Amino acid sequence: MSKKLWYALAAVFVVTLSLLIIGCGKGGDGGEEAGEEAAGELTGEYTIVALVPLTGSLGTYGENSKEAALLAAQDINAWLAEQGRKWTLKVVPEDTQTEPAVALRKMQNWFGDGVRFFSGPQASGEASECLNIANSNQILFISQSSTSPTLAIADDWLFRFCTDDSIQGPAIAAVAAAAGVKHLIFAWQGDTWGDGLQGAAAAKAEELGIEVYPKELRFDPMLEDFTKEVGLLDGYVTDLLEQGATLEEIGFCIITYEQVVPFMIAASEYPQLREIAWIGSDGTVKSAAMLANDTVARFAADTRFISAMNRPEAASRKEHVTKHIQETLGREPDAYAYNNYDIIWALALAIDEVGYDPVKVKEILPRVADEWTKENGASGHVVLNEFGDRAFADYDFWLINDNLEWEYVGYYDSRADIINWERQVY
Amino acid sequence: MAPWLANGLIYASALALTAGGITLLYITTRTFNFAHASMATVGFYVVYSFIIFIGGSPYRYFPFAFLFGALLGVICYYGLNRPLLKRQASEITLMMSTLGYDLILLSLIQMYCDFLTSNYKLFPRRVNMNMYDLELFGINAATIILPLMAIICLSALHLFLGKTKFGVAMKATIENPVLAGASGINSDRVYMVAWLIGGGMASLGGAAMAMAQTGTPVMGMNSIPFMFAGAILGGLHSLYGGILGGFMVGLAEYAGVFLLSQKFGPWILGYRMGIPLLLMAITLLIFPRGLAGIPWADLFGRLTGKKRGVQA
Repeated sequence: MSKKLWYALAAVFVVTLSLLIIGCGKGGDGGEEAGEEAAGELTGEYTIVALVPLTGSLGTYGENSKEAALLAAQDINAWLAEQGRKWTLKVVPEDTQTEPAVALRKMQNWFGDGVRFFSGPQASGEASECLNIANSNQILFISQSSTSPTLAIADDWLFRFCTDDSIQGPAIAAVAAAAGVKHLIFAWQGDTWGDGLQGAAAAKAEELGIEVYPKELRFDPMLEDFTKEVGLLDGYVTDLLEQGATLEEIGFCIITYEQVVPFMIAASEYPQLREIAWIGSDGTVKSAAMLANDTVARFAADTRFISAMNRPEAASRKEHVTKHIQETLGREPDAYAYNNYDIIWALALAIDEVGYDPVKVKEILPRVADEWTKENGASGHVVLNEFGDRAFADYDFWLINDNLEWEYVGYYDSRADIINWERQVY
Repeated sequence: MAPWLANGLIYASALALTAGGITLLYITTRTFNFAHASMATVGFYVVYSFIIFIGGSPYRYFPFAFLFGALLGVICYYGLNRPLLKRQASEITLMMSTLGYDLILLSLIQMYCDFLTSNYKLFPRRVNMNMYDLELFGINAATIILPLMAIICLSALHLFLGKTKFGVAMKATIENPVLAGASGINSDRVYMVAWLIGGGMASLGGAAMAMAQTGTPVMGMNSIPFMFAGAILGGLHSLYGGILGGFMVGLAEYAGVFLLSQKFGPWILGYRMGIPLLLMAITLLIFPRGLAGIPWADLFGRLTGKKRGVQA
């Protein structure tokens, strides 16, 4: 090979290497030195990636969260301009497909591009998958809806603007008791969230004297057809009836996301399943996909399918977010979309204060979230506990009424351990 | 009919069509078509789109699903497969090229879903087509219509290959491409028609599959292992074997898994994917050429002989 060719190859190598070095560590146009900048001196564009499930079983919730995040970015940029700041915020929505491996891959890719701050991912299974890489690389991520108790870990890099299921589990058991259920059958998706919530609900149900049916319907989170599971469920109900229970005493709790739609379609073929009490969770509450299917909406109304959801407190920006999502997607947002709006604001305000530095942002985040959400939050006042999770919340109960609309019917007061009914359901 | 068996029949019919398409493309062009996954999904979205924009029963739009799939098959042939075949590409290259085509189709499906969501406020990423189904003799029409449709398609294909001049030429090319070429058969046209039929079968199968499962942008991708399992179980060298293999895999996934879970407990449901694949592995261990390699005539002959013997 000629010398000239060697020189040319060396030049190409050096240029490529330089470009790579320059490219790495960029969270935005502000560059890697941004973290060194003092408050108020940020310049350029900084990125927060919103890991949202735009496809898969949390697709509808993901779309709501994406719109909330984009609205927050728009509001923050207006506020930054008003304050005379020299930096702008860019929020990039990334589809995690409701799959832990995809969420991890997306986080890794963006980390490679220098991004250190993420909102989401939405599901506990996804958050759990991202936790190791975040902990070892100081990536700060805040989930709007990961509720698994197993992810309540002190001093990790995952924050959660929702409470964990150690509160929702008892809420589910309390509503089963209120419905007069004496035998409770569980079906749940086998992942970090499903296992955690089922465990918490089953433990509390037993404490309340409800017998938990020993055969468990734990299913693959990716499953899309439930004819076999429902066939078994019908068999379990028959088994309980043969043991002397009545249909009014049998309850069925399903812990899943929008797979509840095919589950109910399959269940609608079995008359006795329409006679038992059905209970859902925050994964199914206010599901627009359920209303979109007449068979499912009717089945849910007949079974008084009741689901719990983190109770959003009275908050000044709630209407603002609701209006935006209604305009863009034509539907009511779920409670976790409000959380995502607050997450983007809390991160942006912390970055504005200490720079694009995850270590410093992590230190001040609880204070910033507390101060900002007290007056401005869309999801209410966010106080974080020692695990970086929302410290307390009550749970609203929603069901699909005879007009086939979601209706708020009461709430579970977690501190008093009682349900305050808005109207009589059982 | 028990709902799990009804759904099993629908799903098995859908797999029979898609596995048949995979086998047809393999025996004609040596290509394992991974794009079958998204072609199947496209079939579902074609039917769904007609329903939401025009309305009516899903079955009247199934021919459009076939036509759309056929078009995608022809595009794949002229855009990818033909140039690679001309360069005598290896089977791996041919296979990987269809994987690329599949990813392009998947992206287009996602974009189409975004379009439907933002412009029409629909929920195209999670559709249960059985809500549009009709009732026939007190059960869902799909339980009767779709297995019948699979049988009609198979019969039409059988007649096409056996009774038409082009079909005979196609069969000859499948059995011996060199000799067929020497006898003046236009193999290029034969391959194109194979892609046309194979693509059509994939989309038709996808439209049928959505009557048993939730229709999502990744519906085909989630079912592709079973489509291939059906084709392999069938023996890969026989079109009819592929169709039979698809049907058996589909039925095993539903009826087999359900019956086993009733007997041994719900934990069996976790092995829903493993059981049809196990069936495939066991069949191949006993009959390495798959279902097509089983000496059916011999077996029936022996059975009849035994009976005769008893009677005698």
